Amino acid sequence: MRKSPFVTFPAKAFWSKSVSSGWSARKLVSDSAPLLRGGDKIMSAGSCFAANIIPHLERAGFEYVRSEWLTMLRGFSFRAAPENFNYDTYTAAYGNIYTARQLLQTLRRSRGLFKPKECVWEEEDKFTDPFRPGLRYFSRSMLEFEMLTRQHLNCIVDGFRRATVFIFTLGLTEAWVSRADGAVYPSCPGTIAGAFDDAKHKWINLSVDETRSDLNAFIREVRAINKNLRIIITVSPVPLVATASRRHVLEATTYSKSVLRVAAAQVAEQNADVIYFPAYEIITGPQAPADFFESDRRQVSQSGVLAVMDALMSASECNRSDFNRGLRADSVSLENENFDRLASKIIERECEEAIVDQFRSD
Amino acid sequence: MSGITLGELMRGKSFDTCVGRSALEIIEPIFSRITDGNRELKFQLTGSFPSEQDVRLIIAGHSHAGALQSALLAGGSDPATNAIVKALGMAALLGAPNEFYWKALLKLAPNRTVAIVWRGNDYLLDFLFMPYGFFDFVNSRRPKLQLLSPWDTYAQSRIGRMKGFVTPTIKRLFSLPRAFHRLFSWRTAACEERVADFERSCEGTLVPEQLVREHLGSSLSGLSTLIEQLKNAGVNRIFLIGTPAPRGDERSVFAYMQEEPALMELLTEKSARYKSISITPLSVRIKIWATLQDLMQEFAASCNVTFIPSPEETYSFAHGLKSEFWSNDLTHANYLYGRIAIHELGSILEEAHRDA
Repeated sequence: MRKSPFVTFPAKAFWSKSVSSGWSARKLVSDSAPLLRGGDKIMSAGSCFAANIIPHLERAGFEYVRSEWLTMLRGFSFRAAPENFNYDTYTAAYGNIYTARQLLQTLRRSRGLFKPKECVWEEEDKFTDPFRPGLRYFSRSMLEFEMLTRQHLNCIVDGFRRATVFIFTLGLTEAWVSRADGAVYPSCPGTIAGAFDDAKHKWINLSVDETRSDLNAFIREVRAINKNLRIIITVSPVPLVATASRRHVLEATTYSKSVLRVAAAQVAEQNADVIYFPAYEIITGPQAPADFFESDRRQVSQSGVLAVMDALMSASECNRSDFNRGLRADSVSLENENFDRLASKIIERECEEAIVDQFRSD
Repeated sequence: MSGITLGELMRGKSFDTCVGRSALEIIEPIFSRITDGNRELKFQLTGSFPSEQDVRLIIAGHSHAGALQSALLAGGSDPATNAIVKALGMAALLGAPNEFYWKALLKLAPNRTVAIVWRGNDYLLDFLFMPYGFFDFVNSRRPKLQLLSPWDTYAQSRIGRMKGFVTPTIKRLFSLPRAFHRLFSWRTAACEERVADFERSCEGTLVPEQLVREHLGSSLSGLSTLIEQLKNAGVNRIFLIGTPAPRGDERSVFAYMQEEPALMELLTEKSARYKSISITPLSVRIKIWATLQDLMQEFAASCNVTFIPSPEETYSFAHGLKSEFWSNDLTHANYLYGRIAIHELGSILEEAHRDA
């Protein structure tokens, strides 16, 4: 008599044994090789969710590669406000990178392989980088713009050279691009800076094939800089703040996240040393407690971020005692903080994508 | 020494030192008293006047006012200056610029013209030393001002070079005595490896000018309050006087340090902490100063106040404050500088008088 192959499958293959009961986010990643190894130098990019994990990585004792400093220049304390959005947060000041195409474009620009035709938005005494439109400390002349941009792009290459692991959090499939050369803008022109021009700009919604192709191209090209770079891909659990697809934003979110999730899985299967880390499932799966999202059901709460980080660290060679101490401190601070303060903290960390929400017609 | 910053040490220098003690002793100042509530404020006005009533223009402000005040005190030795001082009824309010000093100025201000010298040294307190490599920036109003290599190579290829500059390299900028080389390990080799590129290996960072402006702008925050108060007090007219350029002599900085054991101790301590510590290249200090002057000018325009820039004949963008205008300390100008500034002030007032 022939037995069902399911008989040999481990508990994790069964919902009843691994989700309905015995749920642990750590088990979700227990089969992965050490995601992060002791001594790893980590670089990351992605949507706003990607920014949230950086302090936890550092607290766990990992070196987060920083190749570009803006207001946090070592040895100087400028009496000036910190940079907007997440420009000061990442390895180099690229801010949030929402799509695989924007990531590929950023790499190509840094290597001098792609020069967007619309590369600066010029006003009197203000020269804005369309690919970093929210920079508080903008350029005041074309010369300064060119030099700061060159420095920035070199810092990106430097980051990729120095890192041993690159973590990328896919956020969106929808993007605004230049009709001239397909250059992807992190936000729709006219939202944070610049002006929207229908003759110059258009909206796109990347497919699975396009996302996979962009990610594969990125992996191939980044390994030309650093052949040993390991890559961890995640999908941001944060829903779209708005959609230009003319569909309901919830439906558009499901489509986007589905595309990203499929593309991420395919890329991880097709490439050596590329691992998918299921942050998306930990936060959005039916097993997730309601408090993993804030009351707006969009922002991931501190406890949600901590759950993701706990799973990541459980599959990494990190200093657990340091990390656990950090976790306890975070939990205590979470308990102590009242809701308003927490909300304001989250708003402070809000990404430029959310600016779109200000344009809603109530 | 613990807990004292370099800035505090330098701010702590007495006002008399800045003005020049010998100059103060030349003539007798006018001593006046002003009642402030139940208290009596005593202040010193200096100038060649029989009484306070003859004063029509008061120079007041922070330590850089010392150059103008010294020029007033020494006015008798220069007939031209003396003539301007007398014609304008010019006097200086002496004293440490504390709460009482400003109160005295407000009491004196009604129906008089006030020329303010506002701070102007903060950038040196903050940036005279650079513990981790360097930062530089493009001054967009003066894009041809030199940048440190490797950035300068790029800028030159884009816009050319102002006349009079020697193309700088960090090594050339720091041809300091050997003793100081031992104390401070200059980071030059890494920079010069990649002159043609913008690599991070030089540990220098090009920062946005806007960031520098925001930093420097914070030093002007108290000035708007003072101007508002002076206007409310019934001042005739307000001038904001530009501050002198930095002096272009790194050796003198260290010579000065050697005479100040406290500063040397602090610097050695900092050096140990940061592994290396370097004096900020003159080109960067000049650019920061020029940016501060721009901000003062913009600020003055926004407050409807006349800005009198630092006299052009006292400095060059290549070498900073000319040596004949150096005072006996690190940062201030002397009475000769003050004399030229007084002449500028006189010219502007004369012009305004003619126009009226």
